[in-house]
Amino acid sequence: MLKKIREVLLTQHIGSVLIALLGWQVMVEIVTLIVRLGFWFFRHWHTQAVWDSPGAPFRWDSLIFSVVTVALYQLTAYLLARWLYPEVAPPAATETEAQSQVQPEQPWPEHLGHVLRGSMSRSTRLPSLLQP
Amino acid sequence: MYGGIHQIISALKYLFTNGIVQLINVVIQRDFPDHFLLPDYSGIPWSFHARIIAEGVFVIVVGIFFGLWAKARSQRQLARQL
Repeated sequence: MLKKIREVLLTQHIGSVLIALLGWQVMVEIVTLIVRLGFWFFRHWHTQAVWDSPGAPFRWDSLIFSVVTVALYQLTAYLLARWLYPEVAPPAATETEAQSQVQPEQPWPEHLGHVLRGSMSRSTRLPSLLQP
Repeated sequence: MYGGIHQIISALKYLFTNGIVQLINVVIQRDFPDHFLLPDYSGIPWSFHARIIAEGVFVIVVGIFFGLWAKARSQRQLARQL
């Protein structure tokens, strides 16, 4: 059952869209946290400058709440990505790299040198034949 | 599926935050008794969180089955056309 669900999530690109949505939610939470922090700092600095009062205390519980939310979304996206796109084993990767390496260039045999020179001379002569 | 995950996380974040805040409050009570304690979410009953998590799981399962049913239906229609 899980294999079938994984196949559907992979082939229909639902999994990648799901991971992207979770990542987007993480970004929204981070931006909200930054804006909230900036707003508090601005208000704190402004009230200290004008009224010389300590202002509203910092909401540590709100900060913890945002951090936990970001961590949960990030963890879910990471686990989903690891399940759908597992890492390739390193030995297999090195074997394929070794197989895909380009063979070292060998010098042309002596008897093929005439063929190569002839084809090159024909190809250089071809544009001159095409001219009216 | 995203709706279900979102709902489960929205319930879990209160539980995790409550645990962390209570841990911090224990440290404050033990080492800094003259400081104020952080407000926690301990007033919310467990049944409320359990209901939200169960709803999230239900939404995920229904979404998965609906997706599988739609895929099987499209494959059947494709086979019938061929």
